[in-house]
Amino acid sequence: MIYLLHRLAHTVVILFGVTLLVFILIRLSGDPAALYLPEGATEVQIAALRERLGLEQPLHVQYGSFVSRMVRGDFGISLWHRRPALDLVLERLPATIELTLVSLLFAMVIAVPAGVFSAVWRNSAFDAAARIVALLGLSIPNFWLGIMLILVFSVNLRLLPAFGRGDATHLILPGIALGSAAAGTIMRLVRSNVLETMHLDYVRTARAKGLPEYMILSKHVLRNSAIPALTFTGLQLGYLLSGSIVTETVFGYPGVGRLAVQAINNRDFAVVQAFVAFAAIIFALANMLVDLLYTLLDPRIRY
Amino acid sequence: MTILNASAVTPRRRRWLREFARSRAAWMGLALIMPIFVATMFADTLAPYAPNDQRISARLQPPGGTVGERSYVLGSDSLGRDVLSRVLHGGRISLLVGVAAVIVSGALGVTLGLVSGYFRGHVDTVIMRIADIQLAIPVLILALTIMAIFGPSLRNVVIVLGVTGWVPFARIVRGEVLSVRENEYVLAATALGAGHLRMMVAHILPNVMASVIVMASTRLGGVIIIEASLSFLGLGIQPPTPTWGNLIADGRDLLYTAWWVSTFPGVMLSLAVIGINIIGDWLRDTLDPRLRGV
Amino acid sequence: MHGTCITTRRQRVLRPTVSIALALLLTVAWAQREVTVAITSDPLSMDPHVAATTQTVTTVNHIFDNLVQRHPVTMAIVPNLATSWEISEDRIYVFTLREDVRFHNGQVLTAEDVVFSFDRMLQPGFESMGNYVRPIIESVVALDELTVQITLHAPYAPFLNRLPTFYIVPAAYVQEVGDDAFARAPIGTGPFRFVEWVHGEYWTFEAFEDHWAGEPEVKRATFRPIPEASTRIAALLSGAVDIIEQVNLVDIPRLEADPSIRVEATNDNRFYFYAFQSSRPPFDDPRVRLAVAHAIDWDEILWIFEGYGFRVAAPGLQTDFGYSAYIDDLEPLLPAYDPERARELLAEAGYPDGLSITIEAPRGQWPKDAELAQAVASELARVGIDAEVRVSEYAVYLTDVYRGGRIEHMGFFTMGNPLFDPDHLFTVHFDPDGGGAYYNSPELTALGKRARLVTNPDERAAIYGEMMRYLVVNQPYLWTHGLQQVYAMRSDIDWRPRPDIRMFMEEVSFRD
Repeated sequence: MIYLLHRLAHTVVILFGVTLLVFILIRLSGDPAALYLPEGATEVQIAALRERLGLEQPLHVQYGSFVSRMVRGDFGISLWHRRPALDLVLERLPATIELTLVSLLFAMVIAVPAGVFSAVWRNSAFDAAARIVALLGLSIPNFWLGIMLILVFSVNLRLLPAFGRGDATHLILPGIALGSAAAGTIMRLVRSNVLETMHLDYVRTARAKGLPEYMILSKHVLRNSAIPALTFTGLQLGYLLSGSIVTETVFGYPGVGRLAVQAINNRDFAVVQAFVAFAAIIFALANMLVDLLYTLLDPRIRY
Repeated sequence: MTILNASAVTPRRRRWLREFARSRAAWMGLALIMPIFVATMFADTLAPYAPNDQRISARLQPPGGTVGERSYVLGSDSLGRDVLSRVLHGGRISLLVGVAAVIVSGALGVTLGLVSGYFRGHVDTVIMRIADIQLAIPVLILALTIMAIFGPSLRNVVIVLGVTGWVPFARIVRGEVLSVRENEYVLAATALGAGHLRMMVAHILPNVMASVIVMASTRLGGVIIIEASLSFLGLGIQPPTPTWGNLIADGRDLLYTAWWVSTFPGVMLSLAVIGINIIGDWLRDTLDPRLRGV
Repeated sequence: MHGTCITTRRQRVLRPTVSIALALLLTVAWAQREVTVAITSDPLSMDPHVAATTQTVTTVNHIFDNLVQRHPVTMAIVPNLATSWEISEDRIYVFTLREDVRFHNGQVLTAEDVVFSFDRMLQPGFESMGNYVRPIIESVVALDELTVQITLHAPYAPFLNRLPTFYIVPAAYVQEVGDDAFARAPIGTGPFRFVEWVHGEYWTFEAFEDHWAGEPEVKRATFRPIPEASTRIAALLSGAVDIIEQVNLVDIPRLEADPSIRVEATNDNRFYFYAFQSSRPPFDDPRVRLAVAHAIDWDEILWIFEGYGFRVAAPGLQTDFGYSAYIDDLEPLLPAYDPERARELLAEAGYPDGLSITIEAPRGQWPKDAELAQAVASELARVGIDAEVRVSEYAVYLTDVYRGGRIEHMGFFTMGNPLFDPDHLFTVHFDPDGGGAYYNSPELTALGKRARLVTNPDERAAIYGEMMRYLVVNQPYLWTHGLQQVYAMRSDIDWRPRPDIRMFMEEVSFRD
């Protein structure tokens, strides 16, 4: 309980750190008024819009009012969409969570068993094949893989939709494109950790005691190799949010990532900040989960 | 990678070489990466043409096409530049950016991870909170803002990729340290009064090295891919400087008609990353004492 | 249109009125007459007074009408909600509204709606649409139920040209529900009724059966935002969408080879140029600017647009006001490809050994922006100008390089001319009271200001002829090229793209 409160406090710290950093960085990186107004807007018009947006105030004043609104759940109005930034992000969030979960699921379902059996049947044909596939997953950039998948499965075979959101089939290609790198990494990690654990003393001892191989595997090996894999999956959530930016662009998938790309290109500060805050919250939650699972899997770790 | 391994490798150099010579995987990895490495590093002499030398009348020639005195082994792009020459020159920059960024993030991450996992308490909290903050900001946003503010130069790309990449090292190292710390031999060493630095370098570092190497080998490929992704979104090293990422991005709208423009840099990139990963795997098997003689 | 009264009973051209007989015959088939269009991005809002991006205008134009509209081919101003107008004292416009026009909620359009709409878009906060006219309009009043008078502060000859992006909204409804609710559930007099908008996914319209010009042939129109050019093509090829815009130029032959797909192109109203930093050496000397113009072989370079780019040596396009009147005189002055002349000019200007400059451009904002810069640089190298290409992200480029006035030597830019009148060029680039940031000349300012006051078309055209001549001889910018906008569609769809690059589904019909 105290631990949870602790974590909560940390989450708040992260949130403020993240928002402060992004708040400053994004404001130094371009002028939304100049971008928003049509060609030919005069300096006076640009200055007037900046004034109306509050961009002429000193940074600390802007941040102060931003924070006081943020704690009330108000991220401001999107300049471009004329709607509350929070609404825009919340509206797109389910699509991205859906895609992220599908790709993680895809990655885990393929990678964990493949990794374990690759280790157990080390140097077998299966091991070789699985490792090559994992390498490919890691080595092909996901946007490139995405375009290739569209080319093959949508344009040539006409089997799967190339873009947008709709029924479950819309998730298959982007899910694979987004999840393939994670699948490769998780498989490699699981494999190397299983291999490592299998040669630890207590496993040898267990084997010497004559425990059946599957018992050793499930009781000792899997549990101990789970920690790095879990860490990685937790971290992967953060990367998937980044990765979804690229994948959503390729597949025209209406998630938060694409919203963020547009907001960044337009310097739509309110939306960028709402997006960043959300990414931060998701990240903090994922990490909390990872830490909690640590304690469950390795009782020696206590907080 | 190279820096991180140096201390572990030296005492066992001869055995290391012998095993390398015996390992099929190592040869395979080497066979993949060495030609690419050599070809890109000597791009100035090996490339048939200058990477930005254009002939618009000879644009989008398919591989093997010849226009006038110029022949395009891997085809030409939309400005009639030689894809082969650009792939070679681009590879040099991509590989160097990747290696430099991994060195930056590896050095940062291992140090902070060791310190964090070893000392725990407030030090750990602070470092991990910084890590959380850093991880919680999507790489894209950091890359974009930093590049927008400081300019999209090669150095800034390395800094962005390096700084955004330290956390995985730190977290993996910290996670392992948390476990290793509790092992009997570390407890024993502590009981015998080993100093902090000695503890970390002599007892804990070797034990977390395996994970670091796996991570470094994965990251090197990963960083090269992130560079490509940044270019895809128009946020990386800017043209006309060729990088594999830029070349793939140049060709992404040409895929249906002139597949070779982004296919060859994509294939080269993939082969290079595969080679890097195979060698990384092999290094791991060889360097990790617990796996020796298996 | 000096004081003359244009009346027409003809309804909007290409907003096809369908004969009743045909209607009866084809009712069943029409039930499935749906079109899905892939465009590059979402509109910014369904509120027509908020934003001016092409995608927004293309979208809101289905829901709303305006006082006057453009002819789909010639781009001439034709009646829409206003059936006629009279101009007096060169600055008082009296519009007569069409009778019995209904909004989607059944309300009848009155002059009060027009007054309300103008008042609304002239408020601060509606920056995009109001900006250009806020300083021009003095008052908008209703003279009676169907007559509206707009008074300008001073004569402004191209005023009518500004009106096609000013949409008429229902006063009572907007006041009742408020701005936010109006944007969520917009109601207009347009040929289509708003159905729904799932942000980032699609937005849908259905035909408005009581539209004054008749019900459109398309019964349901859906738009999908697909930013990636290759994804748009994939969507068309896989049958998921029926019409796509901004077709990737290299893919055109491939699409043309497919019998189920038709490709259509139109000249765009946009041209491209490099702005010179003419406030300091070396480009303060017109000879150096002219040398650059002579140094580039556009016939060669424009091939990067696969035949869909055309040379624009002066900042005027065929659809612009006055073009035909001045173009013949201008032709002999246009700087031709002549590297020898370029070297001579450089030597005359004091750079016999050439010089070093930078060319700045964004990346991926306009077709081949970065590539063009490289192509230009390599042409310049041949006359001894060593040009370094600097490419940056668009937001940075626009904020720092372009708007900030910090172009070092040459910066790539573009201007669309929604006005189809050279006044827009003057307002945006050369009016010291407007947005012009890079080049000031008293001569040019005088010409531009005079052209606004003169309403006689021949006289105006002559003034613009002089302006173009000045712009060609002095080359404050290096005028480069224009592009065709290319669309692809299912081959049974009949639709012609428009030079104002808007897409109106009421102009779509089907081939059977």
